[in-house]
Amino acid sequence: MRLAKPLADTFLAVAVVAVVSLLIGAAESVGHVSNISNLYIIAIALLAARRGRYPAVLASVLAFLAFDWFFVPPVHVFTVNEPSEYIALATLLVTGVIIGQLLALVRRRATEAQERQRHTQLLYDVSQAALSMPSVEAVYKLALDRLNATLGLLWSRVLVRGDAAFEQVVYSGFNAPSLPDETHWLQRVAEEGQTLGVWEQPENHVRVVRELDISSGKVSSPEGGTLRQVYVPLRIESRVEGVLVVGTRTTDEPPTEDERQLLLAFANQLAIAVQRDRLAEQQARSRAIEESDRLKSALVSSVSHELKTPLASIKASATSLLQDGSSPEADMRRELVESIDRETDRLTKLVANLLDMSRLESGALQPHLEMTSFADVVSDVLDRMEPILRERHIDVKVPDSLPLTPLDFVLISQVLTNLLDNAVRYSPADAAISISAEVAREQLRVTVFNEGSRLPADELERLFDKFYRVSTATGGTGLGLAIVRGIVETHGGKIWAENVGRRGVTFIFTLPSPPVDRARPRDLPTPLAEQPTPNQRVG
Amino acid sequence: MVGPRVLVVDDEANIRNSVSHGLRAQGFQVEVAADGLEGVTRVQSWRPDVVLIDLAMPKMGGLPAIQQIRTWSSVPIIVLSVMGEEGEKVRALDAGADDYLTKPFGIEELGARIRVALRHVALPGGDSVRQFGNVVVDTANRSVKVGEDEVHLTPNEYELLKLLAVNAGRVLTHAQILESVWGPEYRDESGYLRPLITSLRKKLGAHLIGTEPGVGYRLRLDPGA
Repeated sequence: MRLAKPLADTFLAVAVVAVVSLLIGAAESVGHVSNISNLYIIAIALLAARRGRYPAVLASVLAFLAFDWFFVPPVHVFTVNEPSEYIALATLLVTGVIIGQLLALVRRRATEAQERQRHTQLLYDVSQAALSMPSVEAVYKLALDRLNATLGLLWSRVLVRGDAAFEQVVYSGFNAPSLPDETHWLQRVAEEGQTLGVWEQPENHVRVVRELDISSGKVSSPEGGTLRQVYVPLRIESRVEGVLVVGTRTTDEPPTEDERQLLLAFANQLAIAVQRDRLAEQQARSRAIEESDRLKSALVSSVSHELKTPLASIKASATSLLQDGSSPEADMRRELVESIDRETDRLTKLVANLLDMSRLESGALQPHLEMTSFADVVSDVLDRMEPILRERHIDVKVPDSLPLTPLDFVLISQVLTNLLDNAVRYSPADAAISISAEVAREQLRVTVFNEGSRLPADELERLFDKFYRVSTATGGTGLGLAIVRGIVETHGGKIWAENVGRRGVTFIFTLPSPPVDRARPRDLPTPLAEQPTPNQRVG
Repeated sequence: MVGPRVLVVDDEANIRNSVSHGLRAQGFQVEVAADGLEGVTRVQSWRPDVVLIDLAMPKMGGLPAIQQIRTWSSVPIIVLSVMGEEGEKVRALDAGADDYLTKPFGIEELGARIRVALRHVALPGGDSVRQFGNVVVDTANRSVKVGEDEVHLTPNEYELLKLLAVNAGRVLTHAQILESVWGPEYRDESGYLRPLITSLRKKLGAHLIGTEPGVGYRLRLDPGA
């Protein structure tokens, strides 16, 4: 390919001059046309425009010689009779060369403009991608692929500043392994903001690292060797956000000024993309913090209200009793003291709930899972809640042979307790309450239903929010259902509420119940009391 | 004043005062101590019939005090613990405490626990026939009746019931029950207990055996109440 072009150009130059000479010969035989030598000029101009400077200059010289030889008297001799013919010949040559040069320059400028247009398109595409693509890694990949194609690079990679050090985020082309001293070089790039080049000497493979000024175009190091890698800092103002590393090119030609400028502009675009990504991340984080702060302050005001109410009552009752000069009747005194007792119980319950809630939220409450039958939970909870459930009829539809489910006994007991407490509290005294449970499709499904209450559909979800009270609030701490949801979800289950026609409300929760080890545990051994004693004492 | 002697060991003056007052009103003689060290000394010098110990105290906490006392005395010890600290309660019970009460508690309940503890001292082992509501447990004849009807229990159910009945009114931790009925290697198998408890409740009535969440079980002296 390398020799073909000059050879072709030479051939063309000769051919063109020959053709024009023939034309001129033909014209001259008909009649003399003055300045017919200008035909050569046209031909040279075309050659310059299409092929470049070399064939144009060659053609100029050939035209000069041909014209002199064939058409300037004396013919077939390289001398000239008339002095004015010298001028004509000289003009021909000079004009040919000048036009050739100019047009070649135009042509070169045109190719350069095209290339620059391609580079600009690349930069534009990268900046568009950075603005519109959701994942920054995709942007980098696209950018590097295009860069490799445009500059003829074998490989390139991008490293981004992480928590501790620079981490490779993406590479394109051949996945070059990082060189051993790379961390030092990266640090230099990061701290000093320099572009570094790594030269390798072919004989001994020793590597030399030096600062490289890309815009200057000097790509050799004083120690010699070939340029293997270049580390370009991705910098916004004074902070280096990342490093672009480019490897060797497929061509041995040194990079053109345009290509060098492209690399620098590209590094800038990448730096902008990196910074944008980092800012977006910071923004998301600060929005999350803001939201969490807002929730926390809403919670604090709820909690303080809940705590202050019983405390105010206790204070009022106690100070009433302490008043000098007042001697309340025994009934009144008893009432005040009972109020203190009652409000203390309420506070105790609230504090217990708050502790549970905060343990759930801080993740300190890790369920201790054991294979348990939910029937045992039911029997336990019904026993403990006996005083509250005394007047109510609870219908229990839980099969004795319910398969085992991995669950934390104490926590799930609390779930059932809170749900039953709710059912009792929000239904009239004669309303039916039922509990049912089944294990199906690898889930334990428990339903607690109470007649009587009915909730607006949009409240069914908000019931589980902390301190949420239904409009007809009747005591309770407002945390019971939030705790229930926390416990169920920490087991990997789900809980929700549904209205049942016009009759009542049902709460349903599910817990994962995988079929493994579904069988009951092996039976306990015989009790010690029934085992024969190893040593029979005598007397 | 001739009632049983109760030593109250708690670092909070308010608790010492109100508990002393309340227990004296119930007929007990009461002395107080403000930390574990003083508590141990008073047990030696005053010889109370029951000791109430708070778990969290400066100088010497409840647990070390219990361990010390247990090296030379089997006086009934009731632990006063803070809400939510199940692990602490279990450790105290395993170290030799007989029962516990969670703060905040009512003075009536405290009195009831003290009386249970005293009863077990008075009749260690107790009668062979015990009645709880309409449930009658006859350990001499291995018979259990609900009302007039004989109830059939498996050997495991019977031994469990017997242990709870002998310790009626007092809490027993899961580990204590498992170790006592089946041996030390079963100390941690609390999963086995639950189905047995459920089945006992079904056979004998739902409210005979009470669960202390995270701690163990307690047979109620008066299930109908």
